Amino acid sequence: MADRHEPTPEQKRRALVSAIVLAVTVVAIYVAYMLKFAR
Amino acid sequence: MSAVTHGQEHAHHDDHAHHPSGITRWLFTTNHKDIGTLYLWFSLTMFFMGGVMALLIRAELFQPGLQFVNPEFFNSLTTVHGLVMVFGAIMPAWVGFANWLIPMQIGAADMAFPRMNNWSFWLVVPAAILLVASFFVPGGAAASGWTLYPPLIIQQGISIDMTILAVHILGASSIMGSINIITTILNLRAPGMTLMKMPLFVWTWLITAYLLIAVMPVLAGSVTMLLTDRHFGTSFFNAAGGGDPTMFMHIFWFFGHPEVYIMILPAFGVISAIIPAFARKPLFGYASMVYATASIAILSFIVWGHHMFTVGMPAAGQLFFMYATMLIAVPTGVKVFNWIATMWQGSMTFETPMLFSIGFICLFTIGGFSGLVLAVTPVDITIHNTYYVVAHFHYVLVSGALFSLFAGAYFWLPKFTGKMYNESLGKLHFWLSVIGFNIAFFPQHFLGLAGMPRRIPDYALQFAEWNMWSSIGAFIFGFSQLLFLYNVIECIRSNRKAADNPWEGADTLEWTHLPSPAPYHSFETAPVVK
Repeated sequence: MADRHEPTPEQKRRALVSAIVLAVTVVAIYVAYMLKFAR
Repeated sequence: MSAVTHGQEHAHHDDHAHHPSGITRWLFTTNHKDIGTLYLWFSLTMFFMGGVMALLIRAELFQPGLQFVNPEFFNSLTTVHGLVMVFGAIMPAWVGFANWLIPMQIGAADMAFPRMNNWSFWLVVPAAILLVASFFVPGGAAASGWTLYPPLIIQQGISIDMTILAVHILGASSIMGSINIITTILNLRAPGMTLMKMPLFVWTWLITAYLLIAVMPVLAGSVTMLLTDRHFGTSFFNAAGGGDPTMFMHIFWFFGHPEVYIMILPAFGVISAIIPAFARKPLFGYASMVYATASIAILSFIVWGHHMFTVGMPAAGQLFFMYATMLIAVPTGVKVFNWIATMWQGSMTFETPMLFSIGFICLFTIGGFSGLVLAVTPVDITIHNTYYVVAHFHYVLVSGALFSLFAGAYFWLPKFTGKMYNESLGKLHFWLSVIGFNIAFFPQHFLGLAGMPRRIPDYALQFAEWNMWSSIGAFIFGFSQLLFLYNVIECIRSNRKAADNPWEGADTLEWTHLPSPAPYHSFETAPVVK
């Protein structure tokens, strides 16, 4: 299989941090909505 | 200006083409191009399913009285047609383009999280099966309209649970896809590819992905509450238990209006790629296009009330939502002006992608203007839930989102397949689509202004003539889409090899740095952008 350039370790680390921040944002919005109406 | 080659000039790229074969290639693939292809074929399949439902609706409405379907089934058809077209056809099609194009346009080897990318796609399939299969359970498919309003949605049968589960799964898929797209764009750009050098399609998808991150959890929350109202004794939206059905409408449209822009912003990106290529001029006002896209996205969060002027709200609220909605015309106008200014004095040619793009500008603008009419509160109260609204959103979503999907498909088919499509067939597809679409939907403005309500299988005699024309147009439009399917399959099977860059004016990385077809793995070394 032909080579391709891979992301650098730094790029991978930053991508992981970005993904975690976004995932936490999604969960926070969902939980905030549910809590607002569940009270 | 399209260029066709017949030689073997890309033999040196053959080593790129090695990839897994058979069903496992598609089940377990983590390749962004494979996943993009899966999304595109899936969305085309769902488009034809939703199209069959649309033609059943229009066949029933061809003349007054009940012809083919009973009223309950008619309501299910309008509901599932909307859900399938929004969540099964248009959104997955844009995700397909995003998968194919974003890594190539920013010079990345693949998406940031290829395995999550695979999950994102394979979640969509069971959700679509749930939606379509709900027709075959006792009580029939959801019949509340795609907006899933209570109290009807709380009272119907098991099909609602299937629909709610499908929406949850589709939401999870969209969120994973959005996280992947944002992380890819922010972290994996080629050296020199600053944010303000990114192609407009990448920009529009970056903003769209943020919109999805913001509103999908809201939709998920609202349908979770519907589920607990149905099965766990809560009364969030059930008036009988002290709940508030109007609250669901507020929450739904807080998701629903940005959802419209989720479907249309990537279209702006596609048109911003095609117009400069066929006008042979750089895009006029690149920076203003970026800021206009961001402005539209931000404004989309503060206009949801215009969908529910008739439920009752304070005059101050009506005024706020009316003026906020009208404000969206400003950045949208900037975009239309920039596209026209790009074409101004350009050396234009009119291949199929350009025809669909110009069709988009003309017809989407009509949809935008009818949106301005609907934004005026007293007018909206008069024509709320009439066919004027149906006409408006079909001008936005069919001649807007769908036409730009066709434009993009014809534009990038040479890069995807390495072959040229049949230009004459493409042009025939365009003209039949434009004619059929306008015959189908323009008369619906008249029907709405005359007072014909939407979502009814029967109607007063006074509406008969325009309904007949609308149905004729719908069948012309519907069957002309078979030309597109034939053209794509014929293109894949043909021997008309495409040049690496068959369009003179196309200058993004996938055209300038990659052969046609794009190799299985793009970019042996990261391209440097100057």
